[in-house]
Amino acid sequence: MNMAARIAGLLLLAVIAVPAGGDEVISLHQRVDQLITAAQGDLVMYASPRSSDEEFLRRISLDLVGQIPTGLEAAEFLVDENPAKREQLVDRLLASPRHARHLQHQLDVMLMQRLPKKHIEPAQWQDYLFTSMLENKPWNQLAEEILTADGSDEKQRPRARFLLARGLNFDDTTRDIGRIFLGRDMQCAQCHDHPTIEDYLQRHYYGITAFLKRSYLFKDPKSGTTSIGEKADGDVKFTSVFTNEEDSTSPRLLELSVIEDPEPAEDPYVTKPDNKNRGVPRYSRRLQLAPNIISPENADFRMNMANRTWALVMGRGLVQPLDMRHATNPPSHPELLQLLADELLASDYDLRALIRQLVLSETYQRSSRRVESDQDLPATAYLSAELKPLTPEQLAWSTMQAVGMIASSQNEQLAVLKKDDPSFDPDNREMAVKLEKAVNTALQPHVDIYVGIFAVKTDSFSATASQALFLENGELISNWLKPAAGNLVERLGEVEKLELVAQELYLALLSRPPSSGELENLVVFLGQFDLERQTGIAQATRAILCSAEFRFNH
Amino acid sequence: MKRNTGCQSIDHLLSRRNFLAGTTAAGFGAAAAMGGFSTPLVADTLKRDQKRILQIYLQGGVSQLESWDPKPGTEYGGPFQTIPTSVPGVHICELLPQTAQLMHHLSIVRSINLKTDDHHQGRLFMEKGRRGEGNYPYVGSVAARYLAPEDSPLPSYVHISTRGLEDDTAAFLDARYGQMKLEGVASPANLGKPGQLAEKGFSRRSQFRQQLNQQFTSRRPKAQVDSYDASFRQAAQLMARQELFEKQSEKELDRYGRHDFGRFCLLARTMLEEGSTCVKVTHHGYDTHAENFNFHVEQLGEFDTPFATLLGDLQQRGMLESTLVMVYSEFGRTPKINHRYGRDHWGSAWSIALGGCGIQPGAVIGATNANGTEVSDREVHGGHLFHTYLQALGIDSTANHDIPGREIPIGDPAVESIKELLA
Repeated sequence: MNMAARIAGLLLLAVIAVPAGGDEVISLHQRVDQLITAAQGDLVMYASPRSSDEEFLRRISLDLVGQIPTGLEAAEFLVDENPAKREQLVDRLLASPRHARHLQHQLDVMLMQRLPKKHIEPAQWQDYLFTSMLENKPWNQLAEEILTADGSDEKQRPRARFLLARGLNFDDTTRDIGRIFLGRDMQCAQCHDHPTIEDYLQRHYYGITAFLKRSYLFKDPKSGTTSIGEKADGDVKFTSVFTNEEDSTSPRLLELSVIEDPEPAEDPYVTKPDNKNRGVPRYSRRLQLAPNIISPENADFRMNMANRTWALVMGRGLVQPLDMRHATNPPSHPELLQLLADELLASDYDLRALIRQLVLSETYQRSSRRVESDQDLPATAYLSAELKPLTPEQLAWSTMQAVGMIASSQNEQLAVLKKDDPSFDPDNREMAVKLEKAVNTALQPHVDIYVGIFAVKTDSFSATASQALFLENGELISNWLKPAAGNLVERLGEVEKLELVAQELYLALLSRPPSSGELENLVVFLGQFDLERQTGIAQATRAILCSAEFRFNH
Repeated sequence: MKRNTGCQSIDHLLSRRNFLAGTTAAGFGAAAAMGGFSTPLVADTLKRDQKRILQIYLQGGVSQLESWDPKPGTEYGGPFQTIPTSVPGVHICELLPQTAQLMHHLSIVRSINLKTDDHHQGRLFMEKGRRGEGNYPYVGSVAARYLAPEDSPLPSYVHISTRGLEDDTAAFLDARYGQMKLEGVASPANLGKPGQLAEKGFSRRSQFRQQLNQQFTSRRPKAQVDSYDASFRQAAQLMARQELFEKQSEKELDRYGRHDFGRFCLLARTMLEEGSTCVKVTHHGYDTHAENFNFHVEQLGEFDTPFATLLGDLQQRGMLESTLVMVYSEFGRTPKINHRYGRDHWGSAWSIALGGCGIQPGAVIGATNANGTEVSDREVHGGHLFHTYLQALGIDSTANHDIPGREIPIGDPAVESIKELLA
């Protein structure tokens, strides 16, 4: 429970000295804005104004806790006149267990790309990520744990999912280590040097494979569990399909030094591999991977995560696509990427601190509405905020928030927890985590349905007819829109004045009050349903749930 | 049920063959009457010019020896004879009498070696033109990406099947080019409006949603919202065309057959006519580790009429020139017959049939040796075929995908298309 200390640390980081001219001390988020503005040049006149409080509230909630605020939270924030309210909100959201949950979702997709269950329950792995994020475990430590785990230790088994779910397949694992930890998708370099990208070489690909090549899946005959064993020998050879040249490599990360094996020991094994025993060599090539990847020598590791964290918050990478960093696809803002990478290293890979700085920047807080212009304004200039499609998880949780599912689940779970422990206090952090876990477990099946329908593998937004049919007609949402104890439709059904209904509906779904025109439209719409007030409210809710404003983080 | 995996006598098998011979004559007559040579109906020019794919996927691995590459009278040839086809000199297995009559629209590749005997790996290689689990789109998604009109009223890639795995077909392409799975001829999921919602309520709701979007789009980037809107338009069009599913013409069913595969083929024709770019129909049940011969009698007996009817209809409606037809599996079956009269998985010397758009008709590419145990001429694999499908459709498979910031070759750059098969 060093949360308070963590938060204090975050606040300190805000004023870490960055020399800029004389003795002036400016925070990282200000430095970010300087670099972005400097690069805009003449385009700066097209920079959008600062977001409204409504825009900011919805955006920051989605980006930090993965769901929209309740109508009540929205109302409270909008009337708050404290000039520091944005920063206060940021710190409140960062301290919430939902922030750890949101980072869990994001890291899970980044690391596992929704691979199906293999050897390890995804739920256990997700719990490991959640706990890691609750502790704000540094990214280098998390990476090391994931890449080192062999699944043999029952307690630490979930962290082996990264390797085991890929079946330790050398090609899939090599490619994903390159993409996810180094920001380089070297798939083409599996069969030949990349035809057009000069710095993606076949030996880079096989240099990574060489760390893994001696390892194998071992199924324990007694317990039936699968873990990773390793042999003391085995080298990597490869042939180009274009030139037929054969080559070989020892473990090596891109252009860093080759990692030579030590002099072979007389007995190369701690445990000799056989049918009954998982091989454990005295010198493990696989265990060289994690320390070498996270080593400060390896700038790719921090550049990659700096870029990915930026993209998570800003909606596009400084290097885009995120896994195509190479000489001919340079970052849009090289100095900024370098700064963020250095900052990660200096802060011991504190992701939360970096996220905090990024969301406090004016660059992040710009409106997503553009300034009128005849020119095509490049997205890389960061003149306005990007539209970010909600992830399946954000969409599910936001929908459940809007219709009142989360609130009713919280009440239910709280009652259960209070029954077990009458002193249960959801304001206590430990108990808040407990409550969050209970609600998360209860609602996860709904989230899984959204994941099944909305998960995509593209860089850009895409939408299908099946998704639209689910939103328009699906039974899941229909059930949520039936009036039930304390949910949105029931609550608003009791409200007499249509104007008030419209106000509340907009706050609950879009975290803002309606404009006067919108208010009029909605009142007309509800009026068409005459006495069937609840049907009208349900239909209006569904229309808003299907709207672009709801589908995107803007 | 008819699927008896237990031991069956050769007598039974022979009586089944007689039964088949009986239906052959009738079937042949029917095919001649419907004929591929009658005057083509006037087809809508636009529809005819839009290129598309019909994929008939024989799931489990059809035996090449009981279909496109028969070897009667040889060590592993099995009990069936060959029959002549409408292409002089080309013979196929007698289990495909109606297809044989339309062979002048098809070509055969007899020399496929995938070097895998695994269902999953074979299927991925045949669909993606790349070995293994790599993140590449299926041929249907590639075709949808480069051929489907922007305003395509129906999903551009549909798969009609009763079971099977969810495929990730679009990979890095836009999700709208991913496969929409249809559970047989049933409507897609969520096509029906929820309970009490009358037509009027739905259109009101739609209007209200559009109002909201208009307001939202002002001074915001249009592309993403447009693509989101398009998915709702497509959903509305599907809802309006619910009659495409479930209700099928009795008259047409008389021709196609009332079993699943017949109905699926008829739906495939409808979907192609209505503008889908790739329609895949899966015919399940070719994994004949036991009773290979009985099962092929049943399976191909079920396959032959609907397939020939569909091929004939496409030709008659002037659509064949613009429709690439693929009849394929994930692999073939072992020449060696096991002790249960079965044939096992066999990726190293097997066949597929192709036809229609961009394909040289009546050709036979490659060959296997006398008893079918290995490829003897013009060995190809999934990579060569992938280039061939796409080039037949006029897509330059040697180019890169149109993905910002990435250079991903559409087909495997290490191999080329089968040039002599292209028209």
